[in-house]
Amino acid sequence: MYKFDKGVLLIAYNNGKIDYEKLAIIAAANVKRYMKNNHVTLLTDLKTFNALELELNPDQLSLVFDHIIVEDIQHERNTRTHRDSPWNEFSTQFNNKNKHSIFQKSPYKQTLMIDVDYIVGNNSLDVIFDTDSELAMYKSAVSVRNYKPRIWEQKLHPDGIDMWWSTVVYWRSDSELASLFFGIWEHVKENYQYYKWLYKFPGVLFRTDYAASIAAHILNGHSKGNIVEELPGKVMRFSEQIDDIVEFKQLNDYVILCPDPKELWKNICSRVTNENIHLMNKMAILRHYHKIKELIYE
Amino acid sequence: MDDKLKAALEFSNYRLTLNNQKLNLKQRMNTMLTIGYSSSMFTASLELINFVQHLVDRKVEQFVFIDDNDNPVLITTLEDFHIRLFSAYTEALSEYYNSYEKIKRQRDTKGLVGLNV
Repeated sequence: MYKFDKGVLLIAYNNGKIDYEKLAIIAAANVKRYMKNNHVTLLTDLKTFNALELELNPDQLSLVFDHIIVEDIQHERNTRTHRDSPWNEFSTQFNNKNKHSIFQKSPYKQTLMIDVDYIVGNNSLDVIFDTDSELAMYKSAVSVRNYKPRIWEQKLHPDGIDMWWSTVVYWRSDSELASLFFGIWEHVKENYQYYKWLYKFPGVLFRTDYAASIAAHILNGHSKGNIVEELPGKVMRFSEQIDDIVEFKQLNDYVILCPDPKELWKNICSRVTNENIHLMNKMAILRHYHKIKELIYE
Repeated sequence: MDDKLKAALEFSNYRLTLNNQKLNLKQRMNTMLTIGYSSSMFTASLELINFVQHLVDRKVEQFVFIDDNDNPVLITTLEDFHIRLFSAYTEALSEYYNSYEKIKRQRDTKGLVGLNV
């Protein structure tokens, strides 16, 4: 397969409740606007692609996506409960079980895969393309309220291994290490109940963060190590699912309402500017879609 | 509610938001301190900037540094390395300073986050 040199890969599969094609448009537009290595490929399925074609005309489409791969795919069942602010909860299908296959599917020699709810607001991730790094992710994270993540998002178990975020993954296609990593990720996915018992983590949802973390731990010789390198800046900023977005001022400038996770009635507003943020409340992003689309195509 | 108590609670909210905004600016600054050099990543810390300057002053031609992922990297262009580190540090600190100057002049919570509601 012909491969482009460097680029950003996004994955979007609609599930009937969340319009992933709209999230992909926003994520891609931000990559285009703020990154230097901004060749963008969208990996999607036919249903989502059809929604995308209804949403954008061909000119608008080509402004945000350089390459689109449409797969004929049957998604495995995986039900996830989402929160949309502290006061609203819903369950929906979460199509993430084939995420490990991005290693084979990426059209790039050097790929930066970002989730569509990761909104790029600066060019800091460009640095990784100019390094010798074969595989890199984030291990540390800080919220827009400047809190650490919950314990289950720092470690797989309070006494267990570190959690690596699969929100942003960088790899080289010619790397044997990366090939092994994604192979083990798939193996963990196929034997998830066993690894859940072994690493003592809770929940029924298949989490790619956990599968990637176990793969990193195994490749490190079942110990701590830095076989997976950390991405530029070393800290991933995130906004929780209980947060709501008050206002988008620019594509990389917005105000977020952040309840205290332990005392949900205590809110503060946090304004983030020029930062890359994992905005976990997808419905909150979509509530501002029309304003964001205006900002993209103004 | 008693006016004094109301004012005190508003001030408390203001300080909480100010502290959070300051931490946001600091996080942004930390992100800006990372540079790519010699196929590796480095954080432009004062310690590293001054040490590289010291090596340049002593006319050392090359030196091994530990990058952000704990890998040893041989740098053979120390003057250029220093320029890059110094430039990243200056840019990050200037942005932090300018942004902080803007927010510290704000006297209420809405002003801190730029809300017009």
